[in-house]
Amino acid sequence: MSVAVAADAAAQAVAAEPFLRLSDVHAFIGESHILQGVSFSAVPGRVTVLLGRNGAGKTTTLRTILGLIPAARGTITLDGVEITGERPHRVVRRGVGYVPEDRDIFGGLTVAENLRLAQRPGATAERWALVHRLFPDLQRRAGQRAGSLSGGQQQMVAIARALVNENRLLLIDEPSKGLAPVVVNQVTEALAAIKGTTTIVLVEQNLAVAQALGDDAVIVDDGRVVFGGSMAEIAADDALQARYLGAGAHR
Amino acid sequence: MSGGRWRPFWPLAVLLLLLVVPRLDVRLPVLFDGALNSPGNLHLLAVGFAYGIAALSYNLLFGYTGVLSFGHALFFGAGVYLPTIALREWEWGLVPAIAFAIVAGLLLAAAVGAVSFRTHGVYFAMVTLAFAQAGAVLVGKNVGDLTGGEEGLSLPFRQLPNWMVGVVNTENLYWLALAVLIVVYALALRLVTSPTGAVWQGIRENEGRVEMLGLRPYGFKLLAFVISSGLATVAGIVYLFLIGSATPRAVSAEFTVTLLLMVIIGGSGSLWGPIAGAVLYYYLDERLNVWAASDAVADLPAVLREPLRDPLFVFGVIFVLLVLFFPRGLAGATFGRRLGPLQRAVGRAAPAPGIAHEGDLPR
Amino acid sequence: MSTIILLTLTGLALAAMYFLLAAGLSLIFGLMDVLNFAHGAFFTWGAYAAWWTIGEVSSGPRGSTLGFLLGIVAATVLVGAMAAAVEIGLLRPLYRRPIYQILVTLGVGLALAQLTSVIWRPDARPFPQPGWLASTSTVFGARVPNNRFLLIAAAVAVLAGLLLFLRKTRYGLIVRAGAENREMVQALGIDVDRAFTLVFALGGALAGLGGAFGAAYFGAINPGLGSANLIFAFIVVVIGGLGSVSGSALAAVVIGLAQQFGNYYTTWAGDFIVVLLLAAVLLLRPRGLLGTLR
Repeated sequence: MSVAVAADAAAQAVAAEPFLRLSDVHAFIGESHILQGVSFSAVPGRVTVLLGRNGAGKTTTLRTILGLIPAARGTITLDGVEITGERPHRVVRRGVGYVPEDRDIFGGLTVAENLRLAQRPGATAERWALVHRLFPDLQRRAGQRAGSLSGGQQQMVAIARALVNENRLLLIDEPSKGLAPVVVNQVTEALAAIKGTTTIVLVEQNLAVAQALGDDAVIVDDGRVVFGGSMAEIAADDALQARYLGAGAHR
Repeated sequence: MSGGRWRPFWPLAVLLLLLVVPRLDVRLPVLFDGALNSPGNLHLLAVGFAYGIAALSYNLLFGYTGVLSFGHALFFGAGVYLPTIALREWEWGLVPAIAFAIVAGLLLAAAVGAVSFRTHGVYFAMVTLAFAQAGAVLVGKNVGDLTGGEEGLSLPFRQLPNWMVGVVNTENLYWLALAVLIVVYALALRLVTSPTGAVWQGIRENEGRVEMLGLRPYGFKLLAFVISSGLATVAGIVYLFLIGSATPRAVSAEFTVTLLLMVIIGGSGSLWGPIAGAVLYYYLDERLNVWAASDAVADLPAVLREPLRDPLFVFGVIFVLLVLFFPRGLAGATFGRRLGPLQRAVGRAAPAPGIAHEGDLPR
Repeated sequence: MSTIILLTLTGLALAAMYFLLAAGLSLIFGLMDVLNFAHGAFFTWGAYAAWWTIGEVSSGPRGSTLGFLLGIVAATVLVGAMAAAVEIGLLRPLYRRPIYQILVTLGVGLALAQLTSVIWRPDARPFPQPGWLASTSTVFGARVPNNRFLLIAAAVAVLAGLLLFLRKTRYGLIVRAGAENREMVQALGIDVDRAFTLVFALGGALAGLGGAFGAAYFGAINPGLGSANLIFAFIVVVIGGLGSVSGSALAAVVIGLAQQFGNYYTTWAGDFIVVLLLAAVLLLRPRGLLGTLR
């Protein structure tokens, strides 16, 4: 069975329609052929983790889903609707939240302004309440310039930004990178809180965090999906880990 | 530009043609007034060559080393003004005046470059603009009563050798300009194919990587700047002899922008591209006036006729159309890559070298 | 003493004009990464639009106040519309390639500036400002033309308006965020393109306004009006900090005053000092007075 089909089957085995589906997606950055046929699906209520070495194409995959990088070939469907080639802001308006690898919050704006900017018509009072409950620090620092926050606090802003709206798909890139364990726990808690009807695709290098959060896993290597299955399968398979996840997978 | 394996021979063929032009007593109506080898047309081509030298020198810096400078006119202007002043005010001989201009141009470039390369990107471009503006102010406001202000200075013809003066000797000036162009081209070719040239192009692609190889980009950029500016001075000197006077336009920021236009039109990915762009630019600049006064245009309604009379207006429109629909310059270099230096100059700060970044090859 | 007052007020008026030009340039570069070489042409067109309007509404060497007011409106609206048209028609098709956009502004600037020469001939024309603007008021012994005061007042109003817009409105928020990280703004579901058009049109409108007031300041207009002042506007933008409106204001004041005082002593000292200031700032603090590191 081809890998793509296997990954698909694993998802479908949980008896839920895939909310996000990538089919043979190719993408270039400049002249480099980064994604060479990525196929996988993600299902609501579950966290799908993208694993792989540095430079394998995980971040590129997220950016291509968003439309920040145009897909050269292949299709991307969201809730049955094809979104390949759509401009990023249109994709996002369908209910997609993004937490980028480098946080990318606006340092010159205050914390409150950062959150207000992210607010779309899909923002609800419940979500605001959730954000304030999960990250009480942010309310205290509402008027503070975001650029003067610590790394961990900035990460909280980045995640809060994605949670404020009732997004149906969350794309999260290495949320635990460079964060203290205490903060990582907060992040884990936040994601668990909204898992419900949301489809979450998570890129994570730290295998421990991936295991704690992930339900399904997809391994990306050299721009292709080389393995798809449940997180438990991968956690148990040392050979697989050594082959595709490299030395830094375990912390 | 198709042509396949004949492509490298195009420049050579054109060169041969140019060598023969002064003997070509042919008429090309609409394209040229009178015979091809009439003094007027030879002069037109010769000035095109002078601009070509200037554009080529600019491209050594811009297209090959990836450095955007807004101050090139300063050195071209030095080549225009310094010999004039030396001949007029100090009554030097021709050769000493030329030597003085070249040496002064090189020294000035060394000084300006040494200071300016402490910055990079847009900031570097602005610093060079500042220096060039300073020069333009000194010249335009006639500081020290040396430069003749807005009206400029005319060359004292009595101090020039006979073979350079007079309409009948235009052919000599044509040969002079072409000879200098060929010499400068050969020099530039030697440079860009040398190890130094390789470093320059490395700097253009990724300065961080050059540093990691143990080389200091500062020195190489400065070298490129000084050589490029020195050649601009040479271009200015040739231009001076063709035009016979020094005017503030030669030192203006507008002139540097014109050089950039020439390089873009011709394509910054080669040595001969900017030359072609320069000749075409000057040719159009001169001919548009004539075309606009022709009968065909006179019959057009005033709304169309009047704008066509203004060569700069037509230029602006042509340029916009070029950029929108034909972004590959004459030399056919792909713009995306070749405009890298401009892109880097105005883009955000580059990521620190050595850190794996999206955009590096996947490993 | 009166000389100093005169030089100061004239310097501030010049600063006001530079600010009107520079504010737009700075915002456009900050958000769109476009060095707008057409900005000078916008300024020129503002001057000509105002001149034409006054000429239509009133006649004679001194126009009516109504004519002048209409001229200002005409300049701002016409040039703003022009800028919007340029952005939508010529810049948007090149939205992924800022380099091409810069080159297009170069061509557009050239063509637009020359168009004034084509339509109205290249000679300078006197600008028929209302009598009360051209006449002087005496301040501490200095006789200052009233248009200087108006120009300063206009610039202050614009500065206040811009800062309010940036800090208090949603579009202002988008512009500020977009100047930092355009991509992330899109990743938040915001159509940055509309912000681009808004900022470009706003910048153009301000340049047009500057041109109308500039015409009053100089007393005459010519096709080269914009390009002569554009270079100083660029210098103000760089010294103030690319993307910073308050930076442009501060830098404009410094430059306007330096130029006036310098040129009082010799014809070239003022311009020279300005250039030295630019070099000094770039070498010592490249991000500008109030700009952020990029």
